[in-house]
Amino acid sequence: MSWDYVFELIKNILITQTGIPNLEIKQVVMLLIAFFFLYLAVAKGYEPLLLLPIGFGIFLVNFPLVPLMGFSENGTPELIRAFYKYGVEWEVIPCVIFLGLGAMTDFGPLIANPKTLIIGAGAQLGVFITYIGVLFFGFTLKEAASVGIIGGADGPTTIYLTAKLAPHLLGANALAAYSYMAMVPLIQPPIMRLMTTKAQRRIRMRQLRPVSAREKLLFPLIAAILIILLIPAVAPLMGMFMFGNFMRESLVVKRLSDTAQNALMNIVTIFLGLSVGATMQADVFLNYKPLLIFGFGLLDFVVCTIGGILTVHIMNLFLKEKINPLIGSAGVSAVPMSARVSHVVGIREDPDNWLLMHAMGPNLAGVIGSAAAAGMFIAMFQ
Amino acid sequence: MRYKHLWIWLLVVPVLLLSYAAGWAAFGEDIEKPRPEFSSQDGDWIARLTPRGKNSAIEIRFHVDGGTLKSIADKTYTPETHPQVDPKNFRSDFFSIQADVAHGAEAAVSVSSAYFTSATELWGPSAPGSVTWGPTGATNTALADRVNMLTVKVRDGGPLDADRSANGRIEVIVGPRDSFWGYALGTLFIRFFGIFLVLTILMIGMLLSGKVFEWIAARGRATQLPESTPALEALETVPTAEQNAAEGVAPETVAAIALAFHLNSVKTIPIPPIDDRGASRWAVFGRGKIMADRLPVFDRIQKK
Repeated sequence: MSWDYVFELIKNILITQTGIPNLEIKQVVMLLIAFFFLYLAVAKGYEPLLLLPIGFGIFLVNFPLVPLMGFSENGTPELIRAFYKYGVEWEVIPCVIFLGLGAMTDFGPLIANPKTLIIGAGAQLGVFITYIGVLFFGFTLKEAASVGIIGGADGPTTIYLTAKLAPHLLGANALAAYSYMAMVPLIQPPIMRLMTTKAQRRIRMRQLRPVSAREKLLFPLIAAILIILLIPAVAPLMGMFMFGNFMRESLVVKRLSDTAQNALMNIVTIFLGLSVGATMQADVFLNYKPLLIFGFGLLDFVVCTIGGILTVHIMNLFLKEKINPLIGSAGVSAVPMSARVSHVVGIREDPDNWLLMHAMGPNLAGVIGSAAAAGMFIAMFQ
Repeated sequence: MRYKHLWIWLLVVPVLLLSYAAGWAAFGEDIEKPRPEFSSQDGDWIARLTPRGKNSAIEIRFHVDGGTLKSIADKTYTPETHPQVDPKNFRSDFFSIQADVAHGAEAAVSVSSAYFTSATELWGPSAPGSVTWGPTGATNTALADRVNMLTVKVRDGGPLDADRSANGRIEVIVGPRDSFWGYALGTLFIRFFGIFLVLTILMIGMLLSGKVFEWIAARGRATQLPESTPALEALETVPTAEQNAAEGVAPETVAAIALAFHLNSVKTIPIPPIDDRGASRWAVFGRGKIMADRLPVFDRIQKK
């Protein structure tokens, strides 16, 4: 055995079996992007439950030669590819997250004031404006729909719709959705102040009526019947959402409800975050579309906020008991962040005006509204 | 304070501006190009394909009256060769249809599908080999089962015959056209107002059911009150502070009883059974109220 042979062997090993010689500049860029999102999650606390696993997913898959998102020689999916295939591609995880969300949700404020459902519908304005906007930039109809839904401010819905219509945009859409959801307290207040007068921000709303346990129990059944009859395409999301809520309100399956809210939710969140992050490989992600998605995602949030507030202004033209327009911004379904923002902006004007529970109504309506919008888009492409 | 949010806008505007040029350049991308599979059935040809902007496959049937359909192929046009032909408007692809006819004769070529609407047109080159496309003058007929049929008359060697010669074979190059922006904007309005409609129906359902529940609750309260139980009888004669003082119940005792009932109601500390005999009316009243408050919950579980 000569030294030449040994050097050749070492060289071959270095080239074919180690990452360093195969590292490309675009992968380094992606690693920096991963660090940025990990920083946002850890240091800034922006939606850490999702941004941390997503950031780590981006981090892991952008090393060269890593057996994570491909298929082995005998065709079986590699580790994160398996999470992605069975969780996201098969559209399982977003629905399971909706199950957990349903188990966490108290629909009391919405049941007490059903008029706020209209605000949830009005706040979907941005979804459709963005849908048209991105079409001008050469996106296909399916891509445009998946980008538009970002403004609904509902992570699982965005992931569900994107996985169905434009899986190649999954990483960018999910990141944009969760990043802007985390930035709701920054994005919404200037728009809220711009679109309301001081007097309107001081409007006091009548205390919500008490909602009986029986009413809460029957709500998921009534809502599921109406929504699924009208938009069958939304049955996987809404069905799971209402099932989770029914378990909660029935009071007889506390263990199941607790599991859906905590253990199950946490498990699927880990797999969802990693899978979504892992779709953001340099070859797929580094082009103009993610940039546009981030730009339009923000525009989407802004227009959705405007849509919610405008809807309240229009409703106030017809209502005897006026609604505080600040709760209109809670029509985007970032629960409960946007409701909290409405409350905080409200108490700055009038420290005794407690808007939180009033804002929870449109907030929950926003969840239903964005799922309905997703259902509309799915039906459109069926 | 307002300038705190400025960075967001500073971030977005350049992103939009920078990507604008790249966006238009990307118009040529056709990542949803349909890939039809052809088969023949009873002398007709059928193309099965997934059109642009759809997830499910559709079928397009081709038929020729006055000739024999020989073959069909799909055509691909790029923005470089056909800048005026925007594939987005031709969601169900372009086709080259070849049929045998008598020399110089006219044949009626029809293309039908449940995917077509009354607004679908059949477009083709305005002259043989031209890169400019326009309507072929096809008629759109609604058939049963929501099928629309587009029929165009083609003469061998005529303007729609791509080989331009009366050789007993016609070749027609066409694409069923649906206006992309018409569809995108139309569906936008329909679906946006669809969400209002769905949530309005849900709102009406909830308002009605809310009224029913409020009525049931009011009725329940009304029927509960007349029942004659020792606890409820005590409700009608809630003692005043003066009466309590006269009975010799110290305010501290009242406060302690109230606290015990409160703790019991939040299930923090279980209260041992109390002998009713000799209990003050305050105690009986409080216990009656707690039982009445809990009744609906137990009632629901029993009805399960």
